[in-house]
Amino acid sequence: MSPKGHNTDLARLLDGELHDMHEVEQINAAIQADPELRSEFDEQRSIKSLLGELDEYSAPDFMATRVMGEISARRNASRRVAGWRQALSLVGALGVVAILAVSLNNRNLPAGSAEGQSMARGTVVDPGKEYSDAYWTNPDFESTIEDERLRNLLQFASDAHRHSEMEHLAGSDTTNIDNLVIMVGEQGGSH
Amino acid sequence: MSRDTQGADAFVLTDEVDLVLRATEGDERAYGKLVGMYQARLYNFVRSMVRNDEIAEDITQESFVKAFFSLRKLQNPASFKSWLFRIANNNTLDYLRKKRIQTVDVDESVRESYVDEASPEKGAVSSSRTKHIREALDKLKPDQRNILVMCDLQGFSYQEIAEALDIPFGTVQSRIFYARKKLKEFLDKDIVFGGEN
Repeated sequence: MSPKGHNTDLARLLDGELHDMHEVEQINAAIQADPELRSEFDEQRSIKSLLGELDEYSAPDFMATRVMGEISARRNASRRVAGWRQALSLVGALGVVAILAVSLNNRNLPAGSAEGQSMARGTVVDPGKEYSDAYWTNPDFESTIEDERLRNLLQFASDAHRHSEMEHLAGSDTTNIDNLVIMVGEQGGSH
Repeated sequence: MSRDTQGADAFVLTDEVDLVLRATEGDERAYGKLVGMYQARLYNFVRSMVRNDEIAEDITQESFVKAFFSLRKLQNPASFKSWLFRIANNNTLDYLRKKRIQTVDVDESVRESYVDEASPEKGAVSSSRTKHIREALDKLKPDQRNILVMCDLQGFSYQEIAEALDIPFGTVQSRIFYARKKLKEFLDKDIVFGGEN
């Protein structure tokens, strides 16, 4: 190895990073034999020694408190987010269950309903429209529904629809409740 | 290194590994002890790189916090020190990169005349000699400065530096050598060596 090849080994020798005694002796011999290499080694040593003179910057006393406070704050924040995520997943799961329950209920429609026929044809039917059609065409439709809650819901939708229709007939800008009451009274027994 | 010292180091390391393992399981008290063990050295490292007390405090704090939340990614608990310094080094280099972009955008001359923003060495009147050395150190590129701070100010081994900076052992060796040579170029011989060299 040429003396130049020892250059970066000078740093290793100086920093105590050479553990092979044979290598150490080899580099020491090269330093003794080559003034240029000796000068490089002295330069490395003087710089290392200068840097060793520098005072350390002292960390603020409250650093550990500050760090641990920040960690606690972030952990609490992430726990809150996790709580919200859990709640949202629960709501989502309940929603899926509700949708499944409604679709299963739709299977209880009277035999020969349009839904059953459309299923056979492979087309998608809006279950709401099915109920609506059956409601207007079959006067006894309500009594065919076994589920009381579903019956009440249908009744509520029917009332809401009628109320909306009354509003429309009375004009969108009217605030005259009396007119509506009269109209509701006139059409109340129409179904 | 004497046998006694090696024994003491091994004991400290075992203790540290235990703290790291407990902290990984979420034990904040264990992590608090690790912070106490390394806060001075980590702050000193960052402060030597960024030249501003408040920014050094922020980067040090963020490095500790980031380390805590990433502890599960640490494969070897015995390498906690190198790993922690790697996080701090990356945070520091990110900051310096952003600052450099901002400074260059404003005015190149500002960067050239950039000096230490805070009072040097708290609690001690620094001599013009040590101030000059600090200023020369500041003129080094960050990847030369960090390696010299680790090696000559913090006493890291080459292996620890290699792990902390994620570079090969051979690169550590050559980078230290050339960083010292570069630092010498920035030093005023009359101030530092009293005209000897």
